[in-house]
Amino acid sequence: MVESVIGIRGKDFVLLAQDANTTKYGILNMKFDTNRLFKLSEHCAMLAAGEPGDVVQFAEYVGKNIQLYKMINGIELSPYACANFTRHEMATSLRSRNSFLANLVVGGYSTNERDQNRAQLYSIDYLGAMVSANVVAHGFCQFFALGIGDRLWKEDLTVDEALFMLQTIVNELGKRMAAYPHCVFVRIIDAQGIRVLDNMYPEKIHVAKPSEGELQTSADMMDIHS
Amino acid sequence: MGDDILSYNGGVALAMKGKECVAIACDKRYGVQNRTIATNFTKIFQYSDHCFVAFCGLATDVQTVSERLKFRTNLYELREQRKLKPVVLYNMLTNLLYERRFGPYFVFALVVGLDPKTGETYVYDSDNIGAVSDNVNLATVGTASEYIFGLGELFFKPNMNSDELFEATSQALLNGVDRDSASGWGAVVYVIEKDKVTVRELKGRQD
Repeated sequence: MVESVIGIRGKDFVLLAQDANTTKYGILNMKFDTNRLFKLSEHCAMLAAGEPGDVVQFAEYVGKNIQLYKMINGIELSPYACANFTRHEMATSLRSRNSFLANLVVGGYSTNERDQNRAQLYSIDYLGAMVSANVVAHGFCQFFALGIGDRLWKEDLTVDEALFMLQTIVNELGKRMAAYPHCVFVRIIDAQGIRVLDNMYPEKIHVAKPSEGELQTSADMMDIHS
Repeated sequence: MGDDILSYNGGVALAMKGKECVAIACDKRYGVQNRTIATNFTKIFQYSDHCFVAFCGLATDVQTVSERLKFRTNLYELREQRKLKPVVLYNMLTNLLYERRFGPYFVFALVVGLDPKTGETYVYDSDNIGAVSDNVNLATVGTASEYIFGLGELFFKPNMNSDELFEATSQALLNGVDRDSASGWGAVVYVIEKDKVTVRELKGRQD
């Protein structure tokens, strides 16, 4: 719940962002460069957050199976196909011995020219409910990301506008979340593939110094030495 | 809300009969308890030229059951070399749900259909373990079903034409979802007639 995974869909690209902290016992920051991104194909990737073991097990299982499909059939699955495969695996495992407490964001760029929307972004929760949206997020950051996304997202979003939206979200997370995201990894997926962009950091909060007036009490104002 | 698994994601669907036409409508909200995540989650699926099913309940099961039913109907059409009839679809669905009697899917379903030759109309509903119903005039499923039943009974008249049917269905749905926090954010209405299917999107209160 405290891990942030965010996806933003723009014009012919998808931005995937994740916080890079690992926390233990609710209070200790163990690691500042955790990777939550799992590559599914050349133009599709998945962000996963949730129960630590489940996340890696499920994400690697799905990732490797998608790679296997490519090896057997010689073509890459589109993000839509990857997401549907992932959802199916999640839904099947839900009512079995091994279910996975992992919330996922699957995003990518479809290399199939016949697809109407080439940039595709999906959110899959731990129960296996899949939905396609312009801004998706999981965890506590969902409250911030979806609200800010409602305000700032528009048709034909450019990369700069998407990065501005993401910086706004990250600043808000830094301001309001007790689990402060020291660093946010940002990746972009477009026609050229998956690229890593610069890390994003929440902006520093400036708090005014308390005034000297607070240091004086009414007793101080009584002159007891005269 | 609290622990109730059938209202975890929210959503509602309604079906009504007219004269040689049927309408099926649903809202578009996808939420997790009191949070709305997306507003493009329609719950109506087409299985044949004149056969539609709406699923309401846990979103993952809406998707799983609609996919599993599609699998079975595809096989049926391949083996039988003919399209599905509404009664057959309904029986396949209730059978699918009853197979999981002691570990059920959390979806309630509505099946609507029309026979294009005779104009006979079919509206059925099912609970999550495949209880069969009669061919009824009006049926609703979902978190706002009680509210919509009341409105539906009010607006329903026997032998409505397709325009009257569309109006009655739309008003019943839109006003019903306004009373339920877990449904709404727009609606989709399918009006099925002998020669065509008309899909209309409604913009209600966006909350």
